[in-house]
Amino acid sequence: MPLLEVRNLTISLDPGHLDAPLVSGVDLTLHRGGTLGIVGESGSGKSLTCRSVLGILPPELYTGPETSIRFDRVELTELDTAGWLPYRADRIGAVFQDPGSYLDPSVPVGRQLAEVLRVRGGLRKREARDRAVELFTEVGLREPGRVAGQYPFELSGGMLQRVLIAIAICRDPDLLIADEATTALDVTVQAEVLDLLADLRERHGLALVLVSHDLAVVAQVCEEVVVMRSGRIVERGTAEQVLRAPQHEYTRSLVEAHARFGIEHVREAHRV
Amino acid sequence: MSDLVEVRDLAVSLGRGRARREILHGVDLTVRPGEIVGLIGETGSGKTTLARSLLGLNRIDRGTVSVTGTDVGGLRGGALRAFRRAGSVQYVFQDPLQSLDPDLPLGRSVGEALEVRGSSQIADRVAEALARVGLDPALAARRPAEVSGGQRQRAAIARAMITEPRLLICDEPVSALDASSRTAVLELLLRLRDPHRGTAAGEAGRVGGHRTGQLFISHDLGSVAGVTDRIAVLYHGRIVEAGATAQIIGDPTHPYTRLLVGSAPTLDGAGLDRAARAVLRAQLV
Amino acid sequence: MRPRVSTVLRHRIGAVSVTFLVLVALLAVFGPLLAPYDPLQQNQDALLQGPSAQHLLGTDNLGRDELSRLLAGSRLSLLAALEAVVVGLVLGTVPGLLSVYLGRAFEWTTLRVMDAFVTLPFLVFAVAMTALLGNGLTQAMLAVGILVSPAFYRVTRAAAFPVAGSQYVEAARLTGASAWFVLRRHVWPKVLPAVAVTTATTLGSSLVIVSSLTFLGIGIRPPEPTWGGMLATSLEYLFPRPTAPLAPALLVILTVGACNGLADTLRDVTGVSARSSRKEKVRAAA
Repeated sequence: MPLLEVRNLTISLDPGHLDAPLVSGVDLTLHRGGTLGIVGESGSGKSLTCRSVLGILPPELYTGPETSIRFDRVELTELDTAGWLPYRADRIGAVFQDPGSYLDPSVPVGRQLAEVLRVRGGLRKREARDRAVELFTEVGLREPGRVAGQYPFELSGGMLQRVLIAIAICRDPDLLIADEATTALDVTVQAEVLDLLADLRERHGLALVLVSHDLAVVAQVCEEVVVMRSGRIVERGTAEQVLRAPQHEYTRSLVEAHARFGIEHVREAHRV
Repeated sequence: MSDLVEVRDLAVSLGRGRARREILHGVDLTVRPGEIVGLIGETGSGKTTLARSLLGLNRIDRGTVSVTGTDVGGLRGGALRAFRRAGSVQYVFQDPLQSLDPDLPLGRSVGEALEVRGSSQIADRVAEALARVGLDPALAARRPAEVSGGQRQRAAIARAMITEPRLLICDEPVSALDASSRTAVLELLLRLRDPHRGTAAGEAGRVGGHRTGQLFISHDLGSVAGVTDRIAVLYHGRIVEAGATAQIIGDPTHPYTRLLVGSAPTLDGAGLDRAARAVLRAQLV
Repeated sequence: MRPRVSTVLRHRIGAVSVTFLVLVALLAVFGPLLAPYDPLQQNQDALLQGPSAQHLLGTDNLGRDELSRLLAGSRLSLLAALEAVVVGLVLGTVPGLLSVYLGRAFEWTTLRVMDAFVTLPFLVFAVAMTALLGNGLTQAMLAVGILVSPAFYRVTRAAAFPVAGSQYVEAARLTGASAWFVLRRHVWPKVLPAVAVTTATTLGSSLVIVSSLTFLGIGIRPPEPTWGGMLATSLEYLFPRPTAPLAPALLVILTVGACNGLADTLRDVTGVSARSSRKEKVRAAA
């Protein structure tokens, strides 16, 4: 039984679905502890797909009548806002591209995490504070006690993303969605955050959806990869398959771009 | 022939009063005609500060900045404006949505440098510049929001190329673009260093074309390595390693360069493993 | 986006406001010619008369024809309001633009001066100015103009500031463009809509101020008719002529309303292009 099963996901600006849909006919399957990479550029519908799983689509967007999103045997599309909340808050965690904008600039980051632990986890103030420092340690923040007392503007992009990851996993979710979570980071920091995601998956049996515009980033972490373009899945397979034998023209152009302009190109030339 | 860019022992500080900090601590950099040099560094390494120094946008504390034979560090006021008006150095920003005036048709932005100089036949030269970057000259009438991201960046490049610069500075020119337009823009930049022929200006008797050199600034070594001839790695305000691209990628010596090369996501998965990266990081602190 | 007359007229409120303001302007220009009587001509035989065939709006306490005074008064009232707006526009917009360019000392100084203007109470300052420069409408409106200038200063700065720091301005400067070129090409078109909206709003409020000042007798030389002055006189003789304040009061209210209607429409018309619609944003985000 898959953990997450998305069937025929269609998203449109128009409730009657007469309009050209922004996302159409997307099917995804993810097993407990599995990894799924979604590759696509802006406008491909990859972010909307994530948002619909979290139940946070913008209010003017509608999912189609045939759409089914099953999470752990529960049909999420049939839930109302209140019914969806425990899933979004406790069982599915998410991190996005710009971590700074998801934090309150005027509250120390440790307190923001502790607040979640108190409200959702029912911990006492003291317990929540200790647990927050523990979580910060777990996501690889050096000097977690000191970081907990700092404000968002005092932290680098990589540290903020770690704080967000700590918040996302604090309720011990079954699924973590990382939507372009490493895009704005420096390359060396990106590598560390990707390591962290792989670690968390291993340690907690977390299933991971990693969304990126960069095929190489996704391939590094994920076993299964889907490639999206203009709201549709144009290619799917194991990372190995997609990289070695891309079928769709768009995937081929992604692979080719790496081969022509990336490090691979230079390494090849150097070796010869 | 002298080098396009000769930076020697450049130190620059930014900020006021107590917040003043030295960003560049004695940097050397050379760009030769027709060469594409990658300037790679992470956020806060000082790469944009270095680029802005080449344009005379920063006061320099120490050292010399010579661009196309002019001592840019010593230029002020009218002399600096005259140097810019000559158009031998141009700059391409990261995000064309920000670097193009949203209310002006693309053609007006592309032709701005000519208008500033009071040139004639601006419309013809704008059309020619657009065609050169692979855009339909009819797009001159569109506003930035009415074209795609790749077309916008091409228009920004056309604006830079219209003065036929000898040096083009590109600051993360493809970072804001989608994969599909990224390749096209990189190809365009590669092509631009070829001598420019067959234009109205060329026929008017300019002897041959010059080869435009490029300084290509990026935080992501992996995505631009295939374009550059040489690479200079900037780390905390110092050039820690410089050399031919193949050498930097294939045989990096400085720990930071090795970490950078080993962290870049690649399709062949040939990056450094976690333990090796941890060792390098430990060497850096 | 530059406000265009045609787009303003497409909005119903905008069309009504503009039409009304044009009518009032025509009244101000040609009103005195249409007046059936000399507005200053006193007639001791016809004091405080109600509306009649000879005097459509009746006569005042000195027997002057109310309609003629209203028509003549519209010119004075509007000219005074315009004077205040022009003074405010020049005193606010110019330093507002310069404050973005001329460095910190100038910025600091103008900000403090504008803050000081904001704290001054209108009436007291106007009274003080007329005491200093002599009692006249021009002097009083100069004072009003000074006091409305901070509004222009603020909107100009707010619109110019992000533009002056933008990359496209930097790109222009890197081509060797002069500050004047940048101002004309990039900054002013962004500032213009904000200034247009403020002009319309300020015109309305200046009209109220002119009327209240003249109502209080500040800046007015007695025989000259203004809307505020007429309102004051008619209120003094409310008992014999209870409907007399209606005409000048209505004119003030409607003109001010039309100014505000125009300002609202300008804001809508120019704001739409600045903020993309929510649907477009969603598409961009997706």
